[in-house]
Amino acid sequence: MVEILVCFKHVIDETELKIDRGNNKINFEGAKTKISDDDKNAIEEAIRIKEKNGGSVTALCVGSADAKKSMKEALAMGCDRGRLLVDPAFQDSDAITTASIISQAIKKKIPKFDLVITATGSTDALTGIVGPSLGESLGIPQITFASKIAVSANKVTVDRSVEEGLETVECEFPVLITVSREINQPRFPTLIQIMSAGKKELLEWNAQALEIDPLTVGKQGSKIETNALNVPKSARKRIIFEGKPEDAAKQLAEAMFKEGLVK
Amino acid sequence: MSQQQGILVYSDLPEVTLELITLGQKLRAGNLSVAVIGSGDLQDQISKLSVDGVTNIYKVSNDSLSGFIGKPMVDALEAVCSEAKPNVIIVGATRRGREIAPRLATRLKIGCITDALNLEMANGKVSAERLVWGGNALASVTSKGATVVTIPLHSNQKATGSAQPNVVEVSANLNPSKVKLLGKKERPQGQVSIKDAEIVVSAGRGFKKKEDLSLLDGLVSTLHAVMGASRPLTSDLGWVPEERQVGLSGTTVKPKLYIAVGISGQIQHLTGMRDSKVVVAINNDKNAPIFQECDYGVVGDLYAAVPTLEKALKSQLGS
Ligand SMILES: Cc1cc2nc3c(=O)[nH]c(=O)nc-3n(C[C@H](O)[C@H](O)[C@H](O)COP(=O)(O)OP(=O)(O)OC[C@H]3O[C@@H](n4cnc5c(N)ncnc54)[C@H](O)[C@@H]3O)c2cc1C
Repeated sequence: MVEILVCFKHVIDETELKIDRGNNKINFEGAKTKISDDDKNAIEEAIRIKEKNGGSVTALCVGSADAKKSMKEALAMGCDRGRLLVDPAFQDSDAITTASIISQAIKKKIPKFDLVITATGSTDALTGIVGPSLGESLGIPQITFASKIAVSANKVTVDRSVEEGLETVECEFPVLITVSREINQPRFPTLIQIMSAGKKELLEWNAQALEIDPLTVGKQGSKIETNALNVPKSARKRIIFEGKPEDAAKQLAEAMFKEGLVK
Repeated sequence: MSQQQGILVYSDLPEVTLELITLGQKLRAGNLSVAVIGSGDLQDQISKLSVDGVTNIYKVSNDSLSGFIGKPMVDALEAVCSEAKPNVIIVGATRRGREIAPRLATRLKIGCITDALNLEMANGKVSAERLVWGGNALASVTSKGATVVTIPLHSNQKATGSAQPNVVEVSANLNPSKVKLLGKKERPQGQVSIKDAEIVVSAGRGFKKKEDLSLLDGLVSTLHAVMGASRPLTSDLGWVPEERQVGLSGTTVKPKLYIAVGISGQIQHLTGMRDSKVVVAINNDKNAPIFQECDYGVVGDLYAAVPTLEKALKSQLGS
């Protein structure tokens, strides 16, 4: 029996963003939201471990009320219960502060657990901070960039890839693991699972319920501030050859030589 | 921490530390210190990192650091920080760096900026830009007070020259981690990985069948290039092994020359090749987004353009 906590982020679907070339800004209008891609791998892995070893999966998400939609999807995939950490005071928290909110929720409300699983990063902010910071806040060991997890009795054996190759490490519970995308292929919930997800327990916890001082979170509780979003400028030459493909290719070959690209 | 000043750089890969030293020099922010942690006398690393601009080397040597497990590394860096009192701690964005930087910042109760581009320090503030939304946007971020920053690999030249920095031995209270290293499999050497290739020729969905990819063989060998691909050809169709996928969910490449053949240039692909020095595109759709992101482009059928290009290059090379 393994008690698993899995954390995910509710994000704007980055593939739906439109770029306003005129003012070099991103247009968020009408963009859909989703569970951050890699977090689905984290959820999938948590569910697979439960299916194999018994136990339960609790999904945690810091987000807005709109995140309920993603939480229902996590429940439909197979998480047993959802915990939404939602409070206006949490808005604009930086990644380390977000990790501190999750950490406080776990310490306060779910002190007994074996495994915490997160992704290595989210598709929106891509900081990769929340997992490692959460492990540190909880004061438990952590294993990052896992590509394979095996659970036996009271410990995990994990493959993780680093620059020089593959490491195999082992750790007793409790432990936090961040998983890489390659670890699994997330499932699509069936219609029946989607329907029955509504019956699963979904609780909302605010700052008061978690005994979090609002001054320690959100913008004023964060060290990092994000000021502006711009579209990266492309400084490419954009010299385009048209006409007969054969002629254009010859012109290209000449240009490549002039640039000293071919030797 | 009080009265922080100066810069401390660290990476678990000494080659990367040399890159961080170059960045540290550019920032001109007082002392430039380097942390060297590991087991044994670490003399090789210390001499390797005694390069121009380095004022101090802080050394932590302990047997529990031999396996490069996160916790003792963070313990060691924390001890170095309380000695060196840096204002900015710059960590190379290796896998281990990505773990220890946020852990260190959390312990020290300071801010953390990962994958920082255009790092600057002014008026006691650290500022940087970072790519967000799958590479669609650049966010500018600022940090109050001392900050841990990670820097993408290979974004600076390696520092050279030689210097005689003060070497300070730091004793740290290191408790062995509960995470135990059972084994290690080194990545096979020899084959040039796409990540390090000088020239990459990538194929996209413009190829109609798997067999047609052989059309690129001649071009690849003429240019001594490594072949890459867009995601449809790897994950979806299985024509090309996944380790050759360039892009957001694949590998980031930074070659001198990147040639995209039959690739439309969707943002997730561009994210993986944006830092290429020169980009060439071949595509039969004049409006393909790749033409906005290339230096040289051929609008035309790849089936006609590729063999001609190969022939023209060969004849110019005189082979
Ligand atoms: C979360 C996420 C992650 C992703 N990660 C990646 C990633 O890592 N890497 C990646 O590549 N994609 C990734 N994608 C997919 C990406 O969005 C695009 O779908 C993909 O890059 C398109 O590949 P393509 O350009 O080969 O195909 P297409 O978009 O289909 O483009 C094919 C191009 O070939 C041209 N063409 C057709 N016939 C010819 C011809 N005879 N001669 C010349 N040109 C021709 C067409 O004009 C077209 O521009 C990701 C998507 C998501 C949602």
